[in-house]
Amino acid sequence: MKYVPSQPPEGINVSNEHPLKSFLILTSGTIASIFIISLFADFIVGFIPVEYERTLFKDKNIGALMVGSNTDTPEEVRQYLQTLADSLHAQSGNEYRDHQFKVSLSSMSQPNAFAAPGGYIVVTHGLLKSVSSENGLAMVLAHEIGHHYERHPLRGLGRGLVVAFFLSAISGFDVGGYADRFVERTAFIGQLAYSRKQETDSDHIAIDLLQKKYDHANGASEFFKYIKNSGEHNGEPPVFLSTHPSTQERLDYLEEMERRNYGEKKNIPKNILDKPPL
Amino acid sequence: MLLDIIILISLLALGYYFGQRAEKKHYKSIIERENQLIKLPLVALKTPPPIKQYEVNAALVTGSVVISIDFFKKFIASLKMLFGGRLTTYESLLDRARREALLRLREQAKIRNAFVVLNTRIETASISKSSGRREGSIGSIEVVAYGTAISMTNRRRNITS
Repeated sequence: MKYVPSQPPEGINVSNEHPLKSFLILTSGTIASIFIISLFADFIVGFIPVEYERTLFKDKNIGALMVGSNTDTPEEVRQYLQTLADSLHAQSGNEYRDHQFKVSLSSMSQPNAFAAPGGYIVVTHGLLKSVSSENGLAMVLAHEIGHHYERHPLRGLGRGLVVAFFLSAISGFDVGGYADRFVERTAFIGQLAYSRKQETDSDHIAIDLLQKKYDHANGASEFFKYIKNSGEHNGEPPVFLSTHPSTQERLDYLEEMERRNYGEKKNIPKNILDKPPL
Repeated sequence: MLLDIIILISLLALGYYFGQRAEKKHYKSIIERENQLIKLPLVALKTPPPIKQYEVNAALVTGSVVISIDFFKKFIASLKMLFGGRLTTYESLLDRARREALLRLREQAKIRNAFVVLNTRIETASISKSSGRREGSIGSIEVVAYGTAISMTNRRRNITS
């Protein structure tokens, strides 16, 4: 046996694929898969019965978690809001009969409202203070009801579930959690873009309900005007805008509807307005 | 959210720049040193070739190296977990570690004036398995190479039989 000193050629144990190339392929692949799967999730959500959604979230008020504040509601206020929501819901057609809503008040001072899966609607105390009539409040409630009719809260969650799947698939490997975040962000951007269409759809439903209940649509733009003005006043947009895009276009549409269907506004009872949150 | 994306991108850029630079530098030095030490054979044979006239010394020699992965490589690897395929970014990392470990083994053997290293073995261990935030995460690896260095003594063997 004789030893002949020589080196094997380079690049046998190492692929010479450029790392940036795999980076590009992988990131675009991830974005594409999330997009496709979330489309699919969206499609399925429409077939989930409302009753099933309600049982699923029977004990979890996700709305309360979203707001992150106290949602124990004074009984008078709760009843008032509930009656208002129910009377709006009563105006809708047969296809929405299955829906039931549970309205609660959050002690938060920022004006905002949420629709959460399971038929929950959360209204903040700040919202009660920011509208000047019952019609304005009813518009916001009807808007959230519209979200429920269109199954938006569940749709959002459906995408959330898809994202969660991706996250868990990745998290087996990643230490910094940055790949998780990357995936999460991508999904979130998609959701935000989707929201604009959802908002418009809900607005249409809300106007319809409002008109049927009061025989006019006056007050519809109240809350959105308030949001716009306070935004201009403070120099920065309120939190509401980040989840509910309030474009000039939207305001124009609501004001146009008000003009076309003008009527007398109703006031919110004084005892409800003066009741402090728990 | 925007801030997070900026942080992510800058971490990726940092990882890519320094990771690639370190890798290039390391490969350059590996190839250079391999050529210097090429005359010392490392073999996986268990028994020495017969040397009748001289007595030989046998000693354990080891070479060990720990290399950490960079952020860019890790990011790619975690995305690869979704799609499968060759972990190309880890291939070069492990290749470097293996060759570096063998080089250190050779350097030790050289000090002992060995003319051959017998029974050369390579082992890999991931050292951050338990220290990671999540189970099964691989942050850095250790490669150990060990073998029996054989060197000659000047004493002649007493051949009685």
